[in-house]
Amino acid sequence: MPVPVGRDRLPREVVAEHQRARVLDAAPEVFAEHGFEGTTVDQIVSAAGIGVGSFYSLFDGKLGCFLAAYDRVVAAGRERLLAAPTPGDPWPDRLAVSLRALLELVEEQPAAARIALVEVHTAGPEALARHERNIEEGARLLRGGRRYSALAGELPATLEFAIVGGLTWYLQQRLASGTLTDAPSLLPEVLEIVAEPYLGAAETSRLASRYAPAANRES
Amino acid sequence: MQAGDTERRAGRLTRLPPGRHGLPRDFVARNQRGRLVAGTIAVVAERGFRRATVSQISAAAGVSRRTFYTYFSSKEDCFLATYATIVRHMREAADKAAAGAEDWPAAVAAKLGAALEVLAANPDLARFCLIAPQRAGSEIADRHREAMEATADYLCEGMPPAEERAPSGAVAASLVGGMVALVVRQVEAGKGDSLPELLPDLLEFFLAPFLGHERALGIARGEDASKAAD
Repeated sequence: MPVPVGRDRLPREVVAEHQRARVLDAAPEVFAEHGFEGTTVDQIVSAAGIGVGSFYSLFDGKLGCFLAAYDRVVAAGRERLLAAPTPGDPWPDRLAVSLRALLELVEEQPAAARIALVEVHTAGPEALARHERNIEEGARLLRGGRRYSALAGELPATLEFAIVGGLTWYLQQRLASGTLTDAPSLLPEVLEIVAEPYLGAAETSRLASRYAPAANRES
Repeated sequence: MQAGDTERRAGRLTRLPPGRHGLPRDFVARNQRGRLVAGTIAVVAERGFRRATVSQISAAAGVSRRTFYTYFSSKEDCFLATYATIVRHMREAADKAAAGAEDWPAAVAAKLGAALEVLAANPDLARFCLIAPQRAGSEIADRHREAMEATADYLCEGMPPAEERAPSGAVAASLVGGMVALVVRQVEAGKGDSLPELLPDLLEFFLAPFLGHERALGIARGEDASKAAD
């Protein structure tokens, strides 16, 4: 792999990391625009501004690049969701704040949202397996809601997986059909899907009012 | 060997008894178009839509490519027709199972149960209908989305108005998406033949936004109990 020669030569690893970051920054837009199948390595390296040879020393082809980009998008999303709420706040409030953060992220980074919600289904079995693992993880995070339901442990064990799977389907189909505009405005619907099974309709509605974008909030 | 394997899988569809399990035997065996549908399901389930070829589908169906093109104008046309055939077949099975159901929740249980039975009889059906379409490209993916939306409406048919709350369109979409996610997970785990075991959970999940979790649980358990008693 070509490395700048000379007195200011950077360590190979630093160059590689820098190039890798450039690819992962550029890749979501390319995959979002052309779809996984329609994307070529040439398009990716052109957008990233690196050479094809460098690309192949960093990634296992188009699929390797997609999976890395996907993992990075999901990790960033997870971090933002978990960091958004105030620790110690009640579960319902933390849930609402996390979901609002998720929707804001979808709005701010549509290409990343497309990778995580739509293109992941077009990139083959390994991508699907990661998608499923992420749903499982989301389901685990949701189980705390059972404390708020009178039925708690009686609820089916599959409930959380179904809720998270259902939410991702809802967002996926809106994104894919081009009807996902103003994602943060969907907080009431998203809370209906995710929170209502645990909190009931009235409490969920109150939560939505408290955290909906138009509500007055302390800054 | 690849071709023989797929032919065996297509052939499996012809050996199924008619009725609720898989496609009716006489439909498939005597009918070239039926065999092409079976071949399409087998090949696409295994290779995905994009990698499936007309030659492979024709071979799995035991017909020539020329014969393929007397029925379908393209691979995509064939896929759409096959998808529509499966949806029609599953709806017929569900309608039949729900006929004479004593109330709306029982009709939902019957419909979901019938769908799970059909899918359990041949895991390729689940791969074809629920997994492959999203990878297949825009028109097929659109058709799949429409079918998913229609499923929520279909399950809600006959729901009495009055005290039951009507969840929003978003919730309805998420209910179908969630049920499909559970089915896909089970199929991907290689446990497609025990899909009917999911019925109580699916039933509870679907009915809860309409009837509340407590009532939905009771109905789902009743379903469970009546199965256990068989």
